[in-house]
Amino acid sequence: MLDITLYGSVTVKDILIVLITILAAMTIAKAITINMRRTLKEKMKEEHLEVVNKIIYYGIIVIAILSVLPKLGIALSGLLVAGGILGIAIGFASKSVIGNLISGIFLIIERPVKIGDGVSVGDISGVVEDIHILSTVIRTWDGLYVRVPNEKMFTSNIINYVAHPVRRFEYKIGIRYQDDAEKAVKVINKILEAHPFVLKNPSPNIFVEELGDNSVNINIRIWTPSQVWMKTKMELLWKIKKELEKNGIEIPFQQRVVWFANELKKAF
Amino acid sequence: MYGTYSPPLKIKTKKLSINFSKKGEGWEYKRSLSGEEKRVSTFFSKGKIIINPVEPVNVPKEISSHLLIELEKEVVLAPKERIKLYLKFPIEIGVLLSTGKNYRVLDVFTFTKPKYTLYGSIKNGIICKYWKSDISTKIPKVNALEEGVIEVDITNKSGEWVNIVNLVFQAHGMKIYYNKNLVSMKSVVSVINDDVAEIDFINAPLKEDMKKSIELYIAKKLIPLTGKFVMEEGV
Repeated sequence: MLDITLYGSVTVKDILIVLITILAAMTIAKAITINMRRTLKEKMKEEHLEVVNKIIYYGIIVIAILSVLPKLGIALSGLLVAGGILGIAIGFASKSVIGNLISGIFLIIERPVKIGDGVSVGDISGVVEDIHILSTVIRTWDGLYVRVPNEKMFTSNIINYVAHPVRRFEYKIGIRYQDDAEKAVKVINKILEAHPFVLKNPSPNIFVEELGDNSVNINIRIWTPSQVWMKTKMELLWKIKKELEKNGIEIPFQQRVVWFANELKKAF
Repeated sequence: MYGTYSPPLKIKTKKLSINFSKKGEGWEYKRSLSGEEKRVSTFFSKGKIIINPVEPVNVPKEISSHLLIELEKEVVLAPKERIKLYLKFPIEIGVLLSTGKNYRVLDVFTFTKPKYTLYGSIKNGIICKYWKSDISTKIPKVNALEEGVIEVDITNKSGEWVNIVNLVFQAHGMKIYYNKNLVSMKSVVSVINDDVAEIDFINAPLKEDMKKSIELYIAKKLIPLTGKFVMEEGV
């Protein structure tokens, strides 16, 4: 039965060999990548590990397929010619797929984002979970799975929040006109000095920015490591508020002085 | 305080308290330092507790593997000059559970106030743990729980005068030794010019009768990368 010829010189046995080879290659590739993920998880950056794993996985499968093609009566040289013609046909038929594929390749070369980066692409913000050849997967801040076609990734404005090692944020804090702004600056500076993630260099800036309608406005600009900027931003504001109050400096409510054209009667 | 202990364990100083006691079938590790507390519940049948200084880049969060030491005074070196200086570095103390050559990190804490800085540009710089140190030509006296001493053997390999203000050390290569009174490291600095210097560590104690620390990069079984660091953004 195994020697039954299906077409040309290809027999059932050949087909079985091809299937077994591909299945074996897939199993071996899976085993190797699982093993690599386990062994190298702590030793390599996640994004690098994923790329290496994908190259190994698909590499093994492609080699296996190429090695068994002659069994199916397909000559590799003929495949290249046919592949060229087929490529043009597929290219016209699947413009968006090709667009995504090429964009994916450019994204991998240009690397504006990496797996694990906090990004904003168009109106989607979150963490890059995976970069496939046709699409990029983003987990939004509220945990939703979003698949962004690579063509959209490539043509959109990408904001990468962690591309640089440091990031700046700022607060604007108003104090009463009767409070001592210099003292407020000193109090704030002391808090920033004590916080580990407020960088020594670039150093923070604290200055009176504006004499506002209701308050003297102090601007505080702080540089922190990108990985911890959100945590630092959340921690500091309340600390500053409490410390200012402890030093007798208050954040005023909105106020307005009203002058009457005719002086009000005392009895009123 | 540094050393190897068999549980149960109780250490109490003015600021610090460590308690490793039996809780039910397992053990509970409890550490309190200046109001901050850490608890770990664990179960193990055999093993010892090692308390020793580790690479000072873990507390409060492991966001960098570099330590930048800013010198209190600028060091000026003549062409081809070689000097040996002693600087201070912050100490972080690791509590590890050990069975032979296997370690599990239970806790890392420090008596010092951690601070970070950026070395290099905003685009390509690296985050470093920050410490300011005075310069000494002899081994300075330190509190062995708070500060260690690093020997830096500096050679100006250029034909010009060079100024040194900062030194950046890579945690992967740190070789820490300790005894009751001193925690130490040894390093070699080759200054190529005002902007570039190469820093490496020597695996040797500063004094005799010092014991080698279990560094966390070994305990965590991370790939032993080279400990050499090239400062390319100025020294």
